[in-house]
Amino acid sequence: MEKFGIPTVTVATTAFLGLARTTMESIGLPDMAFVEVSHPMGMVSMEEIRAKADQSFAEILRMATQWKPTRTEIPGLGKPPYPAERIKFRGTYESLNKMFYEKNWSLGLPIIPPTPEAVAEMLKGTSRKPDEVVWVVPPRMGQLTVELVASLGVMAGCKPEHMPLLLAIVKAISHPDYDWRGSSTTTAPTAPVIIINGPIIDELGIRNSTGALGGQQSVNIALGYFVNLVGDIVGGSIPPDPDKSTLGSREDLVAVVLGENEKQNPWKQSYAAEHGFKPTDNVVTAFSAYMGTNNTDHTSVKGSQLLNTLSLGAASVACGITSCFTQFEKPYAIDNRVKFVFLFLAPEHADTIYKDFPNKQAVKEYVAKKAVAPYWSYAPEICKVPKEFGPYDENTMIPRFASPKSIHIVVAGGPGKQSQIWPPFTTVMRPVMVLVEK
Amino acid sequence: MGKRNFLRSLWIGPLLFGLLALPATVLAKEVIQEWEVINPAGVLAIKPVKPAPRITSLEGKTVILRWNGKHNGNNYLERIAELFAEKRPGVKVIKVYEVDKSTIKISGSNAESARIAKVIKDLQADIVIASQAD
Repeated sequence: MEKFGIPTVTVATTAFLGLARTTMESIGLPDMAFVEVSHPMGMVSMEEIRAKADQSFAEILRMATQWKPTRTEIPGLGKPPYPAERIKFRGTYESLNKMFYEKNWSLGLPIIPPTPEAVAEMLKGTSRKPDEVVWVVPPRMGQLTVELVASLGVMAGCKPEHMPLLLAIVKAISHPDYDWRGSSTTTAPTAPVIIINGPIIDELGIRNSTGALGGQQSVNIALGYFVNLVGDIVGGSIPPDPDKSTLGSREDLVAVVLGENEKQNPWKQSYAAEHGFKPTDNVVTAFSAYMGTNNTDHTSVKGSQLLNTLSLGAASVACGITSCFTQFEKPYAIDNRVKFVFLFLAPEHADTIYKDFPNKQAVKEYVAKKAVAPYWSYAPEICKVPKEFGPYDENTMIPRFASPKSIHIVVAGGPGKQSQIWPPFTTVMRPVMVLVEK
Repeated sequence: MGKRNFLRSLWIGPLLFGLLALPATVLAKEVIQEWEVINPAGVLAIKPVKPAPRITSLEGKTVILRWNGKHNGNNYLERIAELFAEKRPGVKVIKVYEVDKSTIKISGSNAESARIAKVIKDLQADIVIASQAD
């Protein structure tokens, strides 16, 4: 509104004033009129909210008519993005790591120093020019050049041959449909989820089998570490401001990166091929996710039995924020939250399902129908049951999803009966799919 | 033993003793070195924006109340609207979240923020009071 010439007064709670100021700066404003109210506003009684309004009304009037900016410019603007500054430092490897951490240039884990020589070597992995700006990363609005992709790749332990993949990942997570700004500043424990398809899985040693999301997976870990280095260092999304994660998750340190286990996919058609890509294409799929959950079904023998337990997970994951009858193709709204879900099916689970459901579409239809929850389990105000559903009461089982388009299936993992269910952050429009350029 | 060997043993012996007696950590101490590294943070790409000109009185003005969908934000603004009616009856208050429900959201992108801003501007707003909640 300020850009349009209309003054504003923004009411923010004590705990969120820091985020408000960061957001203000990221859009170019050096100062704004804020009215601070005690935290929280959400989940308190009507009486308390009205009391907060009564207490702050005089300040709102004052700010509306008497406020003047105390700062007129934001420091540090106008510098060219390339070449990046070179820093000379004298010390041990340990003290170098300490310096990086204190400057918010690392996440607290050790980094590999991005020396000019190491970065130059890394840049041999791409023909893109090092001065190309590939993303302006919110909320800090730092300019991520190809040179910095290489630098952060070095820091994370990536290799030159990973550069096309790193650039594809950046292209995916920077797409508006991902909503990087929202998902990196939320109170929720969100994490980037990156799924890889194509021959690149074998070429680069991307793990898609036993423990692919665990330790000892050097390529997956390096790629995941890179993603969060980009977000926290260039994007500035560090807790407590502007990253407001109430508790956070470790996936905010090393993003979830896995390859699809295409060889053990009984439906043969990979996730990427299902969405129009060729089997020979290398494809990155990215979405911001709330924490996933596990399906540990060891006793279902029929496909429908296993899909029943998976449907329970699909219906209840990210509980408290999910709407009913969510529509995949419509954008986020109060009553259209968390509108799809990913099933990472272990090969053994996939085989059990495939025996009775040789068609993947039939699997999706089954899960969309069975992923139901009692009306009482939906949080107030976010489940709007359509008229055509008919009469219902608080115990009526209400579908989570309006159509099978919301169910996404990837086969991943090794031996064992352990699948995972990952829901997207509430404002994510769709999983973003990007072709890896050579 | 010749005189030369004897003299040599006088300093080799203590030297060997000294080396073997040194704590292992002294020998294994990390080396201080000169580093040159790239600053990975990236420079900012922000176009400076001047805050909008301020109003000095609310009398006769149009105040827009904007809710981003967070719980209780609307309840807070409802009370603010009541207080305006009681204490500043000369102010026109418009709850944009009742006029256009598509504005009830966290915008999620610059484009969407601009769209919401246009909706508000088209209401002839003189000032916007926004509740960001959480």
